[in-house]
Amino acid sequence: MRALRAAACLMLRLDLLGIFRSRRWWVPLVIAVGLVPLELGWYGLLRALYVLFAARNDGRMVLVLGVTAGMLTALLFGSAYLLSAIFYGRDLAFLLALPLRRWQVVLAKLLPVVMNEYLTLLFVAGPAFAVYGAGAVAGPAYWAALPLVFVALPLVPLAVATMVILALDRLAGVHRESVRTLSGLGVATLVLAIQAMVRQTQELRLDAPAVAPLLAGYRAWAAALDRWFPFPGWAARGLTGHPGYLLAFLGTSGIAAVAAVVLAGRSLETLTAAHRSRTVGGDVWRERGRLRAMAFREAAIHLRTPVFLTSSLLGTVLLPAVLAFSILRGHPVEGAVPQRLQILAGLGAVGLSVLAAASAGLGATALSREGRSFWLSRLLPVPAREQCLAKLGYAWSWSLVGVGLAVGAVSLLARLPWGVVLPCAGTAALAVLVVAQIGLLVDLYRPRLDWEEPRQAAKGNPNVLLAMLATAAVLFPGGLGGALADLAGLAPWKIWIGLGLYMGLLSVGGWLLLRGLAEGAYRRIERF
Amino acid sequence: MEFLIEAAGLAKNYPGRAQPAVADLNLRVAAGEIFGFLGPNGAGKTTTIRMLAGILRPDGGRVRVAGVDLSRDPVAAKARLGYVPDEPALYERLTGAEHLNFLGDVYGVDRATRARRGGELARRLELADSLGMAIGGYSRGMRQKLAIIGALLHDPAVLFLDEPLVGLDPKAARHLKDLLRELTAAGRAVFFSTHGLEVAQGLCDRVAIIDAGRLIAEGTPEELGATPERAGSLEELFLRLTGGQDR
Repeated sequence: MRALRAAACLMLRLDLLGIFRSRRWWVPLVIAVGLVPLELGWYGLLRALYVLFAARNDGRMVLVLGVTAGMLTALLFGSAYLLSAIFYGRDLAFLLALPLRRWQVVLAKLLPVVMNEYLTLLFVAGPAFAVYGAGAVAGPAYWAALPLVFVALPLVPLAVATMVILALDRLAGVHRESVRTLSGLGVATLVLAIQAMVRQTQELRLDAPAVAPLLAGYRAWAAALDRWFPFPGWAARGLTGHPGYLLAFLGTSGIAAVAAVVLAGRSLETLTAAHRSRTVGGDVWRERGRLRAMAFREAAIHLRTPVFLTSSLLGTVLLPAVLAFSILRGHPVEGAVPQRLQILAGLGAVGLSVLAAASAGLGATALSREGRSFWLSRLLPVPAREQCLAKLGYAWSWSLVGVGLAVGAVSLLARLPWGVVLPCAGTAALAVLVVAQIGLLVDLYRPRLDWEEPRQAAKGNPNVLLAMLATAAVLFPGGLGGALADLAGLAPWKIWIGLGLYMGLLSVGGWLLLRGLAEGAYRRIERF
Repeated sequence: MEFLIEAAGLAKNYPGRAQPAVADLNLRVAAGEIFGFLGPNGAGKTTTIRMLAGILRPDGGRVRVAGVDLSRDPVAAKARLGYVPDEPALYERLTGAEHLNFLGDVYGVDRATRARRGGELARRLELADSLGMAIGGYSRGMRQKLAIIGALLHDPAVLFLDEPLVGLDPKAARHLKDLLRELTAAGRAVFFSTHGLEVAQGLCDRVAIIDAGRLIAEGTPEELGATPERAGSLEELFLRLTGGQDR
């Protein structure tokens, strides 16, 4: 036990001291100061709700609310903490070498995670406990049970997070970082789902007529919660004089925690393996055409490097997707839109597609993503223009997803006729091709290949910003011309043809430029 | 005699450096020859190999690989050569098998050939069981082995290796030496740089010594005064020529 205590203390000290020893020690202070108004607002809201609930003889609902919020927060933050501590903890191998059992290693690693959770829960669930305790003038039994409930609060969420991460690890197979990507996508999906549910139930209005039905229906909400996730209800009842529920809550939390520790302990070896071996079938040799092989390389580097994937997802997909989602949840335009506005809406969709493609930066980081492996590109008996064609095709195909989402969302909102949607989509497709070409040209001339972390090739790569500025300079005249032509009363089909020609000429010019410059530019690249 | 590697007047300057990295370098390597390239750190070995393999653009001079001018027809020349760098930075996110398949696709090696040659090389270098692993998880030695297999997959006429034995375990090093001998016996040319003078003395048909970017000696180990009976004589010559005894 002495070894466990020493290891746990070391982990805790490293975790906490890491914050204060780093040069950004002021960051948590700023966050804490920033939390004060938020915390006051949260306390005020809970207090107001308590008054309303208490008037209906249901004051403990504020505890249900606080515990639910706390457990959800513990689940979200806990997943992040666990991923960071277990998957990316470089000290795991060091701990395994100590005279500790595997469950002890897991405990030592989990201690800082749990401490972080408690700090978070103080801000989330703490006010609910305080509001109820003060409001109901709770007796000694409440205050005595409170620390037990607080201690048990993050255990079920942490156990769930552990199980999910272990399951994802099994699924992810080849690379542990895939787990982070999958988790990120999972959280994004969860947030979108919650947003959708909230929007579906009620608009957030705090006027009396809106609050009354909300309050009238809260019992149904609580019953549903009890059915699907009974722990907050158990905790609330346990705190308010039902010892059986208290025991159920504490017992379940304890069992979940033990199960998680045991399972994580059993998986430690696989978790510490830096890169898992994928089972190779009898025949590993597969054949593709040369251009397909080049495209495969682009896809493998991009899709399997989490920071590359998330950057482009944020730009190409998430930006238009969130907009599309918000628009779809909003109120589409009633009736037919005037023709002049249709052109402007179409131009807006093209602009959004361009913005999405440029911010994703797939063209502007096409060479940079290769990093120090760029020597292979110099070695391969493949002309630079062909390599650029594969990069361009890959960047463009991603951008087309954004085009589909942006044009689709705007078309649905503005109820655009097919006669506008199709030329708009065609123009946007050509425009994002130009975006990819400009990005590739920028990256050809100043690729960032000597990076240590992939982040430096994507988010930390100034080429993305440079390409955005260059894109704006090249495409803005076209957009402005289209808008002015619309204001001048030019027929819509003429405007679309004009824009199509403009984008078409630019894309042909861009490709000719790339073809002509690629070989020389590749030869000049010597720093990698 | 057929020369598979010909360099004439090769030169390279790096911006901000007063001394040229390589100056007026001339050499020829015949078919069936193992050519050892020696020199102290920073002498210009890696720069020379990179220029010969088409990775770096020379500032002057010409390179011909298997009869093809590298600057005039780089694609054809590169198709005839294989190159293993000193620190092979490979695509970390690909598995070993995917990396080899990618190279096979690009070099136009059919599936049956890559299965036969790649599989045989992977077995000899004891990498077959790790081909399903992501390269990011490979040790330095494993990367070196994968780079060697990749360089040989298309059966190149010329093989360039930069410090190929660094990072390899003794067994793999032995296998590599055997492989190099087999290649030259089949009429290929091997050009490799090394710090291991004993290796150069025991393995190479001819050696060259480069210092401060200039070729200062070239010939068979015997011509340079090193014979199996006079162990260490190449080392003495190396130290004398490069001023190593004074440094």
